[in-house]
Amino acid sequence: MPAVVEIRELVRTYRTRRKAEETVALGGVTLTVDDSEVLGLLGPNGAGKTTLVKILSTVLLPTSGTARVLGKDLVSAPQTVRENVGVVFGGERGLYPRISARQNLAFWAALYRLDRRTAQNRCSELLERMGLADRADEPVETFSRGMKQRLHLARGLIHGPRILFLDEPTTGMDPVAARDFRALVRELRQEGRTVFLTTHDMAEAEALCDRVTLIDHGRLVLDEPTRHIGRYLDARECVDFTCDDPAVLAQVPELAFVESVEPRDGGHRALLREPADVARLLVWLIERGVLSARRSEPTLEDVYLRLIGTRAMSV
Amino acid sequence: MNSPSSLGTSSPGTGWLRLGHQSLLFSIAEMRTVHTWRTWLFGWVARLLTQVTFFALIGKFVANDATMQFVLVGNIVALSCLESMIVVLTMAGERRLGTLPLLAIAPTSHVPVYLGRGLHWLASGIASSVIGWLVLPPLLGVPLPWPEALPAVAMILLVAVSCYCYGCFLAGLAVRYRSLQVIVLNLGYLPIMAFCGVNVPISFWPAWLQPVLHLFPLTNGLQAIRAVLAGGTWSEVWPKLALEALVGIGWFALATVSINRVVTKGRADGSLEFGS
Repeated sequence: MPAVVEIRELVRTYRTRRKAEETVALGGVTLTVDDSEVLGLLGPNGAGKTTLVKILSTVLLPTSGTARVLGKDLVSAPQTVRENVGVVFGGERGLYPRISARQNLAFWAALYRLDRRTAQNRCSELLERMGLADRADEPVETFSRGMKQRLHLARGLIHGPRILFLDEPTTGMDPVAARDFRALVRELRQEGRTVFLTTHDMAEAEALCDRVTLIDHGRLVLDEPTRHIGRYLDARECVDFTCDDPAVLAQVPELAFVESVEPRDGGHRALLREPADVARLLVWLIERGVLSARRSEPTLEDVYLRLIGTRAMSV
Repeated sequence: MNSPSSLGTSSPGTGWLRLGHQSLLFSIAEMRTVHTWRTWLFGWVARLLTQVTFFALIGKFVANDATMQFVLVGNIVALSCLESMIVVLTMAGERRLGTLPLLAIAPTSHVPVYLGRGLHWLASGIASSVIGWLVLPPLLGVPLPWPEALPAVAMILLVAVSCYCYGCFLAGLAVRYRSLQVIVLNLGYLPIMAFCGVNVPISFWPAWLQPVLHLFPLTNGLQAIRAVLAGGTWSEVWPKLALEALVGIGWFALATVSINRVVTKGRADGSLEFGS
């Protein structure tokens, strides 16, 4: 597949007024994104995800390095880039709350130079597709969070962009609204759009993304197809178990073939040193009366926690 | 649904006019969510006319009917300026709404959008002034000379547009310094109300200050209106109107620079925040 985004040694630094020292938001990121790919950008707060999205959408200039979107340099040819990218961020902001959804879209259609007829058709199509047609002429301030987010997506799609940046789009959504929103993102990929998704939701990234890129301290620490993500834990396997006996629970991390134990979904997850250790641990647990235990594989969350550790809590 | 391959349906010929029109429609729609014609007329305009009446009565109290008419005319025209300058708050609101970065990365120039965002205040200001022009003088017993007072209505429009351009320039500052938006509006409006001939003639102020006051909107236009009411000749009035128009154009140019600066500086220093 041809690359639609090519980033080479991208650096962005900030110098705040109060602090004389320079803060590195991106410290030399190199990344290539293929056509029709859904790329998950993961990382703790302040890691540099949003900075990268801001640069790629031409909101922010890089300090050094290059980035090309559809072959165009985003510093020297920002206008061409802008015609081909859409930006959707999560939250209440980015919409005009007092006017209707249709008026919001019509306004952005004019900004993206759609002629009147095309604009009207696109607004109607998008409102229908996002399930907002029945409320299209009501003020946006009366919408639920999920409806506003779908309108955000419609706004981002009004000009038919090849590349879409979704910056934590499901933040604060209820589970049903988030599920519906993810279904829309899957449809976008099927249409051939390239999607950048920044999220803190590991399950969301695992479900939606073809590839995940993990950023920390402004540097790439992982860039892998989602299906191969377990490699980063050296193909080690896990056992999920539920144990009410504190004495047994305390012994598990001490076992020679167990690397670590951590709380998980009301129970615990033991990460093993070798795949063959799964059977040994299951037998060990059953012998001690633990009957709720099963083999599992490392998830993206495991990889994230392993690579980022507890830093996410410190920022 | 618009697919990536359907990008070619954009029409690059769409320009400032279309955007200005869309911004106006947008502004009217926004205005209609705040006011019905009844609340606008009996709430908003009535309150403004009461304020004008208050200042006019002070003129009568401290001096005579002529002073009252001077203050009345000045304050009625100043209404169009006052309302036009509310564009400062409307434009500053783009940052609060989180739409600023989205406007900045739209392929069309953001300048007409920003300039068009407060057009409803311009229209409201002109309407308020014209209503005041028609209603207050006879009501307060100082009727204006007709038909001389008729062309003044068109001059109010010029003053309002000039003040709107000045407001757009201030808005460029207010967008940058969010916490100062109300201060910027009031500090921008203060010299106009205090020094530009609304309540006292500019000849009242020190000689060194008077040329500076001609650089503000309203000063020259208000002088033209007063000249018309006094039965002045058109050769006396036109230069003042031309100067008012020039001042407006100057502030428009500065507004364009000011607004562009918000975006170029924001791209450089990262002050265009998503969702901020």
